[in-house]
Amino acid sequence: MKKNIMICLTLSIALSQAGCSDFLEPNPRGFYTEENYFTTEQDAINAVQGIYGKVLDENFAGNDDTKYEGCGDDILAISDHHAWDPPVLYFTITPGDALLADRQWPVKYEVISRANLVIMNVPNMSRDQISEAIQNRCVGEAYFLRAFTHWWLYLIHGEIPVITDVDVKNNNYNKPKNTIDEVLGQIEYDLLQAAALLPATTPAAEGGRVHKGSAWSHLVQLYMHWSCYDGKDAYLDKAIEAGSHIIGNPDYAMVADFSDCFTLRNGAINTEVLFQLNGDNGMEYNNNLEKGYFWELDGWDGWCWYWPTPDLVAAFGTDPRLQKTILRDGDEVRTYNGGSKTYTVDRSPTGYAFRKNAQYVLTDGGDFRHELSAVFAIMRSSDVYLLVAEAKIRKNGTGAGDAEINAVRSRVGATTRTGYTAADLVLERRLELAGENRRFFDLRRWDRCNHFGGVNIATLLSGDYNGTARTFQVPKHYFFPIPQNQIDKTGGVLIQNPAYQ
Amino acid sequence: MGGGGQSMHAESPQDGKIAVTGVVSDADGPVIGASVVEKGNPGNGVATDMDGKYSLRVSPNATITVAYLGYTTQDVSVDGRTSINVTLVEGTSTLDEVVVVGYGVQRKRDLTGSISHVKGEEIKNVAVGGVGGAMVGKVSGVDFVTGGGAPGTGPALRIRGTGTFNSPDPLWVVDGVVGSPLSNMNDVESVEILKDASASAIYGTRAANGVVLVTTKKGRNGEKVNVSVNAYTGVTNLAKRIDLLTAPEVATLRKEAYTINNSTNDDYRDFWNDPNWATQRTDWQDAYFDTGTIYNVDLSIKGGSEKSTFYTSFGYHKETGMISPTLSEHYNILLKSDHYIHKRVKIGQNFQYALGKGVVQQGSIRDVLRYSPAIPQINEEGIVAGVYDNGGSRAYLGDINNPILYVQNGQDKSELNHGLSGIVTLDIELAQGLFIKGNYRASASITKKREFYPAIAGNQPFPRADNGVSLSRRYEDGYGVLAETYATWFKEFGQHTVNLSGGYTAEKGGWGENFSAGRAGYADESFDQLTLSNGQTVTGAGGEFNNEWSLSSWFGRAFYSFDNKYLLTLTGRADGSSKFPKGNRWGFFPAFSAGWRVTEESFMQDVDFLSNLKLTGGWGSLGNQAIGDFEYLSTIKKGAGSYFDYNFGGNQTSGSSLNHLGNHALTWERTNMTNLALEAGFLKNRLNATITYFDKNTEGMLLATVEVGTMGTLEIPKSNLGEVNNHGVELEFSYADRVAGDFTYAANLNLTFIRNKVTKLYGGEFDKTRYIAGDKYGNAELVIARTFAGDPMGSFYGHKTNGIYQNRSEIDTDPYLRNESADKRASIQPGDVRFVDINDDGKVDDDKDRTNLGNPNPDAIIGFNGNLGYKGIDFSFNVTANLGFEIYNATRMDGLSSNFAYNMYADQMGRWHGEGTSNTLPRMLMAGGANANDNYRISDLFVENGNYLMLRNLTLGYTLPKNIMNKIGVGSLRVYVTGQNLLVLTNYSGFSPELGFSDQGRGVDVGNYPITRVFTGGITVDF
Repeated sequence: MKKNIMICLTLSIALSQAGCSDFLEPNPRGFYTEENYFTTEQDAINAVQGIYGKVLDENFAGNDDTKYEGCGDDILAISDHHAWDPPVLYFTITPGDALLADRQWPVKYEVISRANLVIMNVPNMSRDQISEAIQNRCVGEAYFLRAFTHWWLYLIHGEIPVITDVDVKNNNYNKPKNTIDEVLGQIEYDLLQAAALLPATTPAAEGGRVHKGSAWSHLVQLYMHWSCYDGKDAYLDKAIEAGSHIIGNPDYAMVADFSDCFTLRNGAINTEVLFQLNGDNGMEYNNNLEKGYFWELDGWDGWCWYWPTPDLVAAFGTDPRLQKTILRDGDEVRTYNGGSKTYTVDRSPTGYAFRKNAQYVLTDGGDFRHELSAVFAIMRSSDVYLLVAEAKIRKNGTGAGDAEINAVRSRVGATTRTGYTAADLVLERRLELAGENRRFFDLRRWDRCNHFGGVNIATLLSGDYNGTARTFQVPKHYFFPIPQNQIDKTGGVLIQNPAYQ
Repeated sequence: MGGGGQSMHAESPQDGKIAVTGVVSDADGPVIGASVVEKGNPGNGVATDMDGKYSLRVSPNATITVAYLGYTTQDVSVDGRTSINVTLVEGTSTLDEVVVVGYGVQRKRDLTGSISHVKGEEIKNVAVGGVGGAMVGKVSGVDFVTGGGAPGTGPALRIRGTGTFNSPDPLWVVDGVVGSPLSNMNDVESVEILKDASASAIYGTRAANGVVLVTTKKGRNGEKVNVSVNAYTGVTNLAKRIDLLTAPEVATLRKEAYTINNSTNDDYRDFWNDPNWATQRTDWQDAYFDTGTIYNVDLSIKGGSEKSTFYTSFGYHKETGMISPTLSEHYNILLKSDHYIHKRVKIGQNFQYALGKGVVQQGSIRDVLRYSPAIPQINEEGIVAGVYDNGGSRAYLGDINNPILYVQNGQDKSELNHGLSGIVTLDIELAQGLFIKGNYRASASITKKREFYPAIAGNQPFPRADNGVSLSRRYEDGYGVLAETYATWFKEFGQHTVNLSGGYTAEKGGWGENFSAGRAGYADESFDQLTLSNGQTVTGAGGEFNNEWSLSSWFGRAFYSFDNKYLLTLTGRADGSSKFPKGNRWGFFPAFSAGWRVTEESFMQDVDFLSNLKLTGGWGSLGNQAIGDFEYLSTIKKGAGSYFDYNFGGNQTSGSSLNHLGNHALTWERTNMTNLALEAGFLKNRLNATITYFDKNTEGMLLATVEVGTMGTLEIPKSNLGEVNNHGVELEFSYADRVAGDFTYAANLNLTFIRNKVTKLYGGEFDKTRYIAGDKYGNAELVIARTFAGDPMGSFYGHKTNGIYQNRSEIDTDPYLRNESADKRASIQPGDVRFVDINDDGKVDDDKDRTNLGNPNPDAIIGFNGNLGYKGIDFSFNVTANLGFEIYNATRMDGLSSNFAYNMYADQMGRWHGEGTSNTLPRMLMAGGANANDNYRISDLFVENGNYLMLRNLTLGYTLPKNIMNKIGVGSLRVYVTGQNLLVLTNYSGFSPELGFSDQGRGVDVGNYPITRVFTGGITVDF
């Protein structure tokens, strides 16, 4: 009798407790969650790939960031059919019409979101799931790309909310802006993590993945911008120190032919290009890199929006880089698979076009088409040489950057000398990096830094622009407003840049 | 008094218990429904049957307590007798009734929480609305929000106000096991509604919106087999119609529009001058609304032996709607039995199967109200016409289909559901008063859906001739298991009474899968040929696993009373849910309540008029986990996706895509509730009154996180953000008496006053930048209901108006428009609506001049019902009223808009058409023409008072004299007629002030299936 009762009792408790240990663990099927997705090396690699994929978005590095190049004095940007361009180009921008940035804002944070997923999960993978080398590489790539994206938000807006893995854990997305020091500090942290975790170089078969050189070079760039704020001169030393990982390092040597940095295709790499975006021939349009179309000529498959100003062309003088950078009337254009066409002055509103950034392919019918697999150089070693030279000139005056400047000039066969001044450095960067989205942000930096090299941005960038008078106001136009739409969504958490309030 | 009868020892050889049977009677004869309970074991009790008989298994030395409303409760020692007849004398008693509480039962007098009780008898044979619908008006504190009049639709229960935007439905517990509402209401023995935190905390995380405990009927030990057959049939129809313009009126008004707008659209003029369009041909409401029918048959057989009892029931219920081809059809089987497998071990079996079929409405009621009355229902070729075949009519009559076109062409949107549930229960008496109990359930559901769109043939050239004949099918199944084991202990010693229960429950549900497929292009559209294989092109195929969830909980309740005066209940439940991240997975939900039975005090003994006075109060915290299963985790799919691919070193590679962002900080939504109640009985408890105050705060309500750019571009997770307060007062009065045996009567009045307010959304109470959008309405996707912090849920939001501009000078000198441009003022015409410049900036703009226009949540909910019995005649009524709320009549807003080409409400005859003609209805506009002032934007013009009083149920029955029946071998026979929704007193101009319900669109009349008036007649026979 007692026995029967005990049997029932035991049975009932056993039934209730069945599978108790992991009873509350969810069991997703048909898809993965971050808890069960990261189980193999390939899973980590694929998750990282999604970060790179989003950087190509036309609202990010794929195109929209290039528009800011048009704010400078090197490029006349013309794209009449986009309402969001004129307020940026003519410095009439208000929070309400910051439409370009409004398109970009969520896309950039999407890249950050994908990077955070990797940063939160891949480090927890066990050794039997992933090798140390791939684990470090994946996490390093995520840190680098998170830094790169925050960097671009900083370049446009200055103070922005930084979103890290800690915020994701706390579901803390509706954040107030971080200060400039906090933003740059987070970027520095991420780049240092990347520099520590990433491999020194990337094998050709993985061409396009970032490596230590990518991280160090971006650190140099970061420090130089940071050093232009009051009381931040100490960052010059950090820039020089970070640059020492690049300068003289054969892994990151400048290549013999300057042009080789702008004719890479199909994921090819060289030592000089430290960070690049790879186009692809086969992927659907949506996944592909559109950047090239906007530099390529109408009729040759391009929708060219960016034209060199006569001022830029004049600045080259006899510099050998002119021929490699700019198309002038009668210049011959070739493609990697043959064919030759002649550029004529009537194709451009300024009379000139860019050779850099435009890569064509010859079709069977003899036409030029956009080369889908074109590679875009986002950071080159020569940039680092000139940033370090700038740091040294700022520290020690005229002549202090001679070695680095001469290294850059001699590579292209330009004359070398000693005693380069700040103004010489300013010119050298303009010529070496024309069309590489440096000029406008350089001008801003130099202007802020007691008009380094005599740069006065208000003078340089005010005046006629494509038939419209524009005025650059200091310091208002150092940064662009945060789009009102994004501020509205936060219900008052995000505060507008005071210059635009 | 006292019990007499035979005294015969007939101890069962196995369990030592004996079955005691007998008759309970009073001076006039047998008493039906008296409660007979083993003293000290409130779970062991029965009610007397039609003949006053009872049967109860007790130990030979037990005491039984016999109680009945209006009579003195008696304790009778069994002393080994198997037959005990009891004669009751008038006195007080209801307090000894036993009430079902979560995981146990309690004596009513011991309750310290807030529980409403409805007897199965009170809700039987209610033809439409299900168990929920049958309870409308019977209990306080519950807002029964109608689901509309479509067949098979019941109301949504909002217990003590809507507490959250996330599944505010209460938890249903059937026969002690968490389940779903029962579809055969005639199986219901009783329903208890747990309203406050103390009563419902034993269900912890699932109880934030209240708990409905349904107890089904069962057989009794020693009861002879009873067969009961019940059948009724009836009709349903539309209770009210909307007055619309006739075709000549439409033509007149359209011509007026041409004139007053100085139109030069000659095609328009010529069209309306054609007498064809001024000829009245069809009343589309007549064509569309038919008479619905109801059939119901249910059969139950119950009985019991010494050791076993059983209850078997079969139910069939069919409603065809007043809108063809809507249908709801249910088959239900309930099989229950209890067996003592040992003198102290009882097992129970409970098997339920329900088969349901539903066909939902196709045509839109909005279209019925808008389709041209000049179009014949059947055209010259004898076919159902689209818009009449006349070139260009679309622009003038509106681009909508004949509302009965698709129905007539065989469009079909239907669903078939199978629901299965098997429960085994275990009941072990370890010692006197100490029980171990268990419930083990497995359940399954299968749903098959079918949607067919017929071809709309070419000989009906307009509109939307549709050759895309398509059939789609969907299959879904779902499974769940539950196991729970708990112990209860009841002990009385001296002045102390202790009742403890506690245990563990684990539930897993939601697993299963779904798949669907569709094909288009069918050569033969007859029903029997419509298989997917006969379709030509695949239009879709897909399927997924359902998301599985699990819940694991420990619960306990301790009740203690001292001297029957001082009562204390402590309850707690710890819940772990798979829906939350590891660190936030477990939540603890405590509650306590205390009571003081004032009338037990010695100083009250001389107060004669007061037979009972009890003061109770308590506080508790409850949870809600009604959110998606993987909200806290980011979800990832392998394989290509946009912007996930990349070319590394010349190799194309596909990445994995992150497609849902997780909220890693997600946790329980929590509802804290305070409850204070005073319960009083007068006139020997014939009159009972209860007044209850409650205050219910929901915190951390899960809301869709506001999409901020910093989240990126992904679907965003919910966050614990909002707060809602509901507070109010409930009053219940009941009176019951029996006069001289033949005449009985009872009445029950309950009133509920609730204030609902969303106290926090994204910011503080005064953050007016964020709101929760209600359902979108119409093609323009208007968001009429917008809940801002500080407002009641679902408040209407729009412009205030102040009359109609009567002439040009009123426009030009209107201070509301003083800062508008001259062009803007010139665009406004006499006859346009004068919208109020709320912020007084001299402009009327959308972003600054809109405000709260009304609240769809009633301030007061009233139920009044009662019954009379005289000899064989029984009569009952139920009246309900909802007061203090508004309705946004969106259907009328469209029905008045002359800017649309459709037919309009008859009210339009009272439009403005010259100075002084109207100050409420604007002028005629050209259909599709200029509407610079946007007269039909969301405004208070279309807000109406929703107050109503409804005669919800009236039943008249007659039970034939027993002596006649017995001669023909029938135990009893009752015939009855019932009317539902018979009369509505309201000023509301739409079909009904009770609208179809959606949580985010309450009180917005979008033209849902109107509630129906129902007449039924039936017969119940017991053998």
